[in-house]
Amino acid sequence: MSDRQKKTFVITRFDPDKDEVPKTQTYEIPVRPDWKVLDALNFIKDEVDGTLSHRWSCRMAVCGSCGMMVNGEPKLTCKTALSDYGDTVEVGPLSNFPVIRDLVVELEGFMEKFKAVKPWILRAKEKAPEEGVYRQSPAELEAFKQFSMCINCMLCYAACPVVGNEPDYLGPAAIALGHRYNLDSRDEGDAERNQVFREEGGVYSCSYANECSEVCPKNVDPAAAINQAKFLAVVDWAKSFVSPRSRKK
Amino acid sequence: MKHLIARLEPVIWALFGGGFFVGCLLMPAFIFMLCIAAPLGWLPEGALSYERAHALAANPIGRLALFVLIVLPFWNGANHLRHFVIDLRGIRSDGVVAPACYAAALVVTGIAAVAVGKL
Amino acid sequence: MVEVVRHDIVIVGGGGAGIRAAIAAVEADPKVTVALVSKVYPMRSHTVSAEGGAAAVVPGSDDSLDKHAYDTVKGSDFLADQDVVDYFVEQAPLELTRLEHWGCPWSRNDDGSVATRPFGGMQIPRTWYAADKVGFHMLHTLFQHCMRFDRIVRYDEYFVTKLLVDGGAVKGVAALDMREGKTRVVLGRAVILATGGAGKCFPFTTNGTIKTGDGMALAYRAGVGLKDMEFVQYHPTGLPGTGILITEASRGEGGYLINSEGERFLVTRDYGVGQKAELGPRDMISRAIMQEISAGRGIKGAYGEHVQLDLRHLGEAKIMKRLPFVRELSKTYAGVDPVHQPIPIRPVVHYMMGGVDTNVTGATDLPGLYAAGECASVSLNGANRLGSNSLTECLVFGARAAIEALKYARGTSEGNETALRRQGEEEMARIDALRGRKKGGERISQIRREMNLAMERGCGVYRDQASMQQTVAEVAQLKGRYADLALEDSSKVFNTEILTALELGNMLDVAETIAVAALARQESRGAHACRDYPTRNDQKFLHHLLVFFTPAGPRLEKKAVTITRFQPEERKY
Repeated sequence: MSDRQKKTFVITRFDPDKDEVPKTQTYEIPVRPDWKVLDALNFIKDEVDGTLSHRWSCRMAVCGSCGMMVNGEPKLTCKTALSDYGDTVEVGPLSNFPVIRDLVVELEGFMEKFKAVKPWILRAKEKAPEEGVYRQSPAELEAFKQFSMCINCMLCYAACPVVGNEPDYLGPAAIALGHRYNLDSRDEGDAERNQVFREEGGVYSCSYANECSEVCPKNVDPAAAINQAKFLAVVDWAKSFVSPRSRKK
Repeated sequence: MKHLIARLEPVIWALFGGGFFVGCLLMPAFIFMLCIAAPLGWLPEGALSYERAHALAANPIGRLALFVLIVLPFWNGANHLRHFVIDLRGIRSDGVVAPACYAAALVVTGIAAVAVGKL
Repeated sequence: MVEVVRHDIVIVGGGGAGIRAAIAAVEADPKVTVALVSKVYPMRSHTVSAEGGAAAVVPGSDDSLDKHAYDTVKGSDFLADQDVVDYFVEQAPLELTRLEHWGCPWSRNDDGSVATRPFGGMQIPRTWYAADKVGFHMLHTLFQHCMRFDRIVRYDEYFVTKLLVDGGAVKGVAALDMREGKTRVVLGRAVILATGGAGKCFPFTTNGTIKTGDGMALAYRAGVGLKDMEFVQYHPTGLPGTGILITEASRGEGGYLINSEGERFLVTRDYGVGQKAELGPRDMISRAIMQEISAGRGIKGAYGEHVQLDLRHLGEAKIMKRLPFVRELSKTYAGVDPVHQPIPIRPVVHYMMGGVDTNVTGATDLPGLYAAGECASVSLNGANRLGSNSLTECLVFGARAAIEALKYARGTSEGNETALRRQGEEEMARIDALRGRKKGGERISQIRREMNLAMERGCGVYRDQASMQQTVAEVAQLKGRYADLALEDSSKVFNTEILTALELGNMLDVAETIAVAALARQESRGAHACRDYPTRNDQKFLHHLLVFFTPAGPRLEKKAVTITRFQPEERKY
């Protein structure tokens, strides 16, 4: 324990059966220099207070479970080094989401938005597996690859000022996902998704704050996806007046 | 009104984006010609004379260009102002702010149409 | 009163195998509804962490199904069932192609065909990949695709605590709804377990915290045998301390393993991997690393001794194109940039070859119960799995289990709802009694730590009879102490303490079967390397071991291995 120093953690606690509003609880624990914020939470859960609830799993920044507010900023706690912080670290549930318990937030709203953008390949005619793969050049793959890297950690929703104002806004991750399929050379569903993008709460609700891309731990750049989607959705809409065929599609 | 604006969002965004584009691309050229090149005497004699400018503006393409140049930046400004107010005062202000901003842009559009038509 | 919902098929686990099974079921029958019950949101499932790739013969290449089959059987140290292997290699290309059709962003060759990379123990590059985030892309593709089916009804953050059996057949599950803290009953005419492995029985593992052997424990307690549990795969390259996986693809792309003297020991010394060097199978390379460390050629670090994985000669461009995640992980969790420095690595618990005993159809001996993926032992992997076979296994046998479960479900009754509801109520009472229970003074984290250490001591890369015996005794004693667990949290909503307690119970059951089976296998085969019996003994041990639950403790049984085309031979590369 000699390599350990003490740090104080101020953690938001909330049990809907007991508390009217969230409160904070303070824990002082010994930490190792290479620990992430998540390691400290797990130490508290295991050794100090078994009633603390938080979500986590892979601890390697790919499952997307452990997004929380750390000193007021949305962070993936398994990727956030304690050494970047001072003696006191505040940890709370992600902003802009209803809180279920302690650091656990409600994801059902997001799951509906996720489904709304039809995140699957849409084609008029599908191939059987026996007919082999679709050809896709490395350049065609590159066109959407970045937007396929989202781990659904929800940091962008916690950072987005529009999500806070407008709960029905599709939000950065869902739009980036829909846009990813629109850009996929194997997909033909862009007209359907653009329809969704143009509806109320769609891409045009975005107010260009760019916070989503600032906080994204995987460099997905959802703000770029939203801006591209705004353009493509309006072009698609304009086209529907010129060519009746594209309207039907 | 809220739903009408929501339905028109793609159009508003297109006008906003167009304004941004026009502003970024054409304004510098405008400023260069009128505020730098002309005072420094880099332009040929009479290049900015009333007759030449009027002829250019009154030509149908000139009228259209002028109209676009006046109107789109206003839509850009209206949309920006609206989102700026939402950031400052919260979404609840949007019920008043959005119609006000876009109504102003609409009025400017009307005035510009009349003015350009009368050239 | 416990709430009851009913579907045709109940799938437990929302990872690669579970989602594939769900899609297969609703596609095969336009009427059925499927319950997809998962203790986490499906995109959090541990399939997400797989990195290197998924194996399948590329149609039209100079590869063949026979070669893939042979590599798999040899890799298994001849303990794979060869009928299973044949079915697997035949279905593998179709399954990976299907995933391509569903949008998986497989990396491509310039002509637009799917690219492959070499992998350990495979004689031909047949590992399909999407950079070094293959599991992530496969899981997200599957999850996104399953969204199009309204007949897949998800029960997210439901933790299954019991299989409900009526008239000798499984008819549903009891599950704890984390959000409300209530036990609910999900009924179906067949149940498919797809809950993944049990790496968290060990202290040092690539596995996420959710991999606690839940499905294995559920089946075990319902009387189904667990097969080949002694075979625990150590992945050669994990980061010291955290155990985070550094993919085998880093060696597939040309990385070297070096010791403290900067020597490529797999080339300069004889570890049985021959010309394959760094592309030998995982069991052999893990043993080589442990021998290097015992010979004093390890490098001392904050978390014990390790060797190094050197990627520097690949250059920044190749690393960024093929292995960007390896770079991100190394920088974030080991503080080294592989473009400029070698990565510290050591063998780490990665995968359970063993699991719920099924036949090639995914069926267990208990009617109505099926299993697929890592939680199952369909006997594809035998004593050692080849890297990149397991992601494909999830797809092939997830789909197969669903089709077979559907066939079975059509010919069976729904079961006696009153009796099943009563079982659900008993389960609810058991869980409610455990919540916030103050009895005894044992802490979850203390028992878990002791179990972890016992498993590492007795069931590590190298094992010996004395320490295995000690581990068996220690785990049995820990199970006794588990009955005296004290819990602090008596609340209902999202009580993760009770979840952790139930998971620990599952792990203790699974850990015991691992240790008991390991002790009984008095030979060395695949991932099971016993110092007292250093060679393979086909006369006495060319068979699977099944472990059954009895109130008096685990009971062992032999099960024949299916050998068709490939006769056992010395395993040398």
